[in-house]
Amino acid sequence: MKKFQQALMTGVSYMLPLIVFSGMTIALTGMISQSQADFPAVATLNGFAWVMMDLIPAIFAAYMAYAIGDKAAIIPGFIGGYIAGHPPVENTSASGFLGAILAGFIAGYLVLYLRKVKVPLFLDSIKKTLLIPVLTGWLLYLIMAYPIAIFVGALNDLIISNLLDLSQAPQYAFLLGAILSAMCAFDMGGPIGKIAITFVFAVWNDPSGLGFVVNAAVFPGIMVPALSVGIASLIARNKYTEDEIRMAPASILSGLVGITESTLPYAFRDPFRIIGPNMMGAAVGGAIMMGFGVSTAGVSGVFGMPMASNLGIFISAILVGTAISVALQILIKKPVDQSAAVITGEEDDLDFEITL
Amino acid sequence: MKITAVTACATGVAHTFMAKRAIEDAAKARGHEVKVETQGATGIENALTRAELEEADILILATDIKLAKTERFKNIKKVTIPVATAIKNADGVIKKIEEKLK
Repeated sequence: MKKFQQALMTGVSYMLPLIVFSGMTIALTGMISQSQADFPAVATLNGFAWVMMDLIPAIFAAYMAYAIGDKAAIIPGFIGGYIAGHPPVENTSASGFLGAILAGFIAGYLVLYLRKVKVPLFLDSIKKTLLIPVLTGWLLYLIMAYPIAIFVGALNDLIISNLLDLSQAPQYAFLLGAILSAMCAFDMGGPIGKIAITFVFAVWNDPSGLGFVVNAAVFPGIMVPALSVGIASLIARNKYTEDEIRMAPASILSGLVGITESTLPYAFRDPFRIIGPNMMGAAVGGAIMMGFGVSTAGVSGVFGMPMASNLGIFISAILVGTAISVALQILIKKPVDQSAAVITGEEDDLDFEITL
Repeated sequence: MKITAVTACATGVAHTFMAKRAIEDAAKARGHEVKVETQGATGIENALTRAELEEADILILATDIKLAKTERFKNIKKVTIPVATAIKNADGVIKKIEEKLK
């Protein structure tokens, strides 16, 4: 399980620059296109950025496989991940991120296993140069293009149709936005938030435009935590450590550009009184966002703002969420004794063995 | 002791370097020599050399992801911990290593 999680994080790690490139490029070119100027070159760049965006599952699966099966697993993972985004067989649908996770997992362990298979010495170089790439490529194609594309595709469709159903009824849209946003605020860039993001990517290209609505709904979950710990620590200086106050500007900036992870040091020191308020604030923000049906195709914090369908509500959702979180933190956090503000770890964290 | 360490988190911007600082500070406070390699967003910085790894008493791998160039770490005494543990309690990690190596 730990290996699986490490593989997921490796995939995320190598995929991030591609998300940033395509997200930022789409946001910027979209902004220029919206300003009514007609630049064919900008539109072409926008189209290209979308092509790169579509490669994200492939890159993710490639590096997830790499974490498990090493170098030889990269290409099989890429092949499987690509099919997750672009199913080649008629009447099957893209398995998206869910499929990409499976592709990375299968490719990684397949290669790991094949590398261990003993063959006569004269066959060894053939195994490495021919058998592994071709065999694993074919196997990944078969698995991803048929059973996975059919079943996970159907499952994805089920989730999408449920989300669509939810988004039809305004009272559930509030709830859906609140849940997705709170998930992101819960572990600040960790696996729970990734599930919410996976939802967003799973419905990203949905013709109803739902992808852009749920994409907007997770913005408070991504931005509120880092913004609010930074602002709260500057207001209630007696309730935060010296380090936390010094980290505040960086944290606020991170929150603005959508890097939730900078909340983690605050959350480590006082998990309940940080994560609780953050989730509350994010949930309210997500509920506002989705309740009003605000959508955006942008990613990464303020860079997603210019593409928001309703800028006023978008900003209000972030501000209200942040204000709630800041107020709750100041209310429930205990004053800090600066001299004793040393982080103490739990003993069971240190359950490691020395190995060769 | 001579302590070597490698830190790597998923984003490779903040925690990788926070863990580096935490390990350096804790090691120096306890009177050890220390060198920490980071595998962040742009790649390997402050790389550990073959000689440094061979001389080291312990190699701490504080990582959430698959590390690059791990073939260098073969046959070296090492511990693997999450990045968060290094940031939260580097001192405890080093104390525990001291005990285990006794």
